[in-house]
Amino acid sequence: MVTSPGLVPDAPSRPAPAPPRRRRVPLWRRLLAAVLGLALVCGAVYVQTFVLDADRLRAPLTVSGGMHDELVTDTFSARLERVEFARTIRIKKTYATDEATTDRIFMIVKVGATAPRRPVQLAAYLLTADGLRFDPTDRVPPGATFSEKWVQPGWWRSGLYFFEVPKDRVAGARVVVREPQTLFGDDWVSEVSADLGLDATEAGRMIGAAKDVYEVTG
Amino acid sequence: MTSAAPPDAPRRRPILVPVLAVLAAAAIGVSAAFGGLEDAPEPKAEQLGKGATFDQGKMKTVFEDAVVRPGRIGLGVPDKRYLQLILKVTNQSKSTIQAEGMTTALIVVRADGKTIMPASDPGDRGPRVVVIAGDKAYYQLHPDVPETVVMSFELPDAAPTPKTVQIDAGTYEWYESFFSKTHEWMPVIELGPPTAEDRKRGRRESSLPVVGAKITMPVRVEAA
Amino acid sequence: MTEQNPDDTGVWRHPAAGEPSWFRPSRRVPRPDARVWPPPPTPHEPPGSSTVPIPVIDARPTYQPQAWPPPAPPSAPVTPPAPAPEPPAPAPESSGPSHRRRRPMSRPVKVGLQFCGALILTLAYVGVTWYDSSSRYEQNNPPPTVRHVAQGQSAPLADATWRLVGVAVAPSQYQTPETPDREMMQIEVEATGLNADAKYLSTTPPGFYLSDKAGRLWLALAAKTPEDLGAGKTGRFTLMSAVPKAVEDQVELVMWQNEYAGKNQSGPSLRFAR
Repeated sequence: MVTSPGLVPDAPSRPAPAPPRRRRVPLWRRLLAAVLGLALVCGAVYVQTFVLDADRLRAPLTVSGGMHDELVTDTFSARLERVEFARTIRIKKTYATDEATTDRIFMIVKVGATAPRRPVQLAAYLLTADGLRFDPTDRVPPGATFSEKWVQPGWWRSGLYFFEVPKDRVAGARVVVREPQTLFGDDWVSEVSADLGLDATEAGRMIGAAKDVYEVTG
Repeated sequence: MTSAAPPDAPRRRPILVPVLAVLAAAAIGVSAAFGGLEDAPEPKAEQLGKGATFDQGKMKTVFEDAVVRPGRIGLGVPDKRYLQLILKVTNQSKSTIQAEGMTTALIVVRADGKTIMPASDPGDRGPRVVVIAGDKAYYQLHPDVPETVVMSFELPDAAPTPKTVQIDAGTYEWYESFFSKTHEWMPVIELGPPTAEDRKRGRRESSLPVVGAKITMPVRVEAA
Repeated sequence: MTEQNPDDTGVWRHPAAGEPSWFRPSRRVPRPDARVWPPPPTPHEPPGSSTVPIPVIDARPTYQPQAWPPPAPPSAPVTPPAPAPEPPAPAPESSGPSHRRRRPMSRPVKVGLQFCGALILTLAYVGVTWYDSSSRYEQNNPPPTVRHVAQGQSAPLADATWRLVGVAVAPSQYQTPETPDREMMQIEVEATGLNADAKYLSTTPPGFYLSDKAGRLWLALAAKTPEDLGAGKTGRFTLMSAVPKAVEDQVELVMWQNEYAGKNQSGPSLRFAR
């Protein structure tokens, strides 16, 4: 059918230009691009592991140090003064004397602390090298320990914490001191983590030199 | 298609999607025919006896003994008799737990078929659970340290001495909380239809702890 | 349209071997511009060339379509100049707002606008979350308010009206010689109950502290509490506190509603001038 010329225009009469020659991308370049792309994707997924999981996002803010270091946080400063071992602990109370015994060993840690602004109480736990947390032993009444004493501004005060540990977990242990937890657990509490500085030989030597009876009033 | 196939090429019909659909339907049909779409059977609770070990996740418990004897210092009053379950518990979590946690770990305790824990009497405060070391009673279970735990049930004076005790032990899992994504040891539970108590509290379903093992022990009697 | 087949528009033509086909799309040669409107002028055919028996129409002026927009007024005579459909000039034209071609925004302006938008949205997000979190925090921990009480005056707090009687160094029997840097202070406070609940203040006294000018706090523990405190009844508290010797002259009594409020320093508080 001949349509009216002018409604559908003719293509210009010059010859269609030849399509540009497509260069074939060589195989090695394609492989390289694929490998590079894969590496970038793997890198992107790996970077996601840097995001802290929920347990660690709420973790306490820890100031770490060694024996005798003064470790300063916002609400208190603490230092580890002495560590000793004993097989039995004798608690001298006003009208009676209690004895605490164990199949393992008692570790007695002397901690000194002060506060910058307001009075605080401090609780501690023992963190072994493999991540186990030992609360202070209840075989020693808390009145004899540092956990019931008030730490006030203006002066340093010392006290004792008693832990009951198996002998093979002493090496590499740390003592962590912080304010007592509220019922629901706070986020980002300040805590102080002091390395006892006991390697295997030193721990063995100190445990071997443990006192038979350690006396304390409380 | 953006350009016509050459006029002499064979006609190709698009069949990929229908073929895949038929294959999928056939696979599902065959699975259903052989019972593959049914619910998996519930894991059966183990039946254990005296001296058996059961791993509860948060702790590992050895059910050593069940004794009826009068109380002593730290374990009750000498005038009354107690049914005491002697367990050796190793705390498998990473921090110190209280011995009291064993009342949740052992879901139901029955003496001669009658349930003594959880107690039907609301005034009953439950068994006294302590860690026995030497002659003294303490309350802590330190991580990875096996300790002897004694669970004491007070027996009414006139009641006959039970002959066997049956314990339903539950398990714990390292549970990730839905909202806060933090982890803690939670008892493994299954959801069931709501009881009257649940409906009163506005809950839509009841949660029952899953029994991991049933332990039956004979009770021996000690005079002192 | 070609000469061979008028219906063949060139789209469905099978490409020659070696040319790209439909499953290997490649850069297609764009169609050259072709004038569609106004239609190109009809080629003038010789009068005797038509094979269709239509009468010969004398040559007379055919419709010459005019350039768009029509030159104002629209009722002007029909012979306008020949249109020249060139692509519109980049300069903005003043005729007819709907046909003014918008100048593309220059790149720096675009980037600047995006940056400002991002900044404003970030600040808004941070501001809203800050406000939300801090109002929730303040709901749980009411902000502390301090009311300064002049010497000898009394002020109410938690079921009683309080008046400071005196702050002094404790008698020597209470001093601890083994800690020479500290001083024991004795504080006397008088309380007048406002209602019957005041009797609980004997067993759960409010949080008493001694505070120096810098705001450091020291515990003041109740050594003696009144036996009974009721509406209108007056009793006396005796408090003991250890403070560093250096501040013994400047410490003032601060009290909070209860021990918990004192630990967290939340809620109303009174500060008594000595």
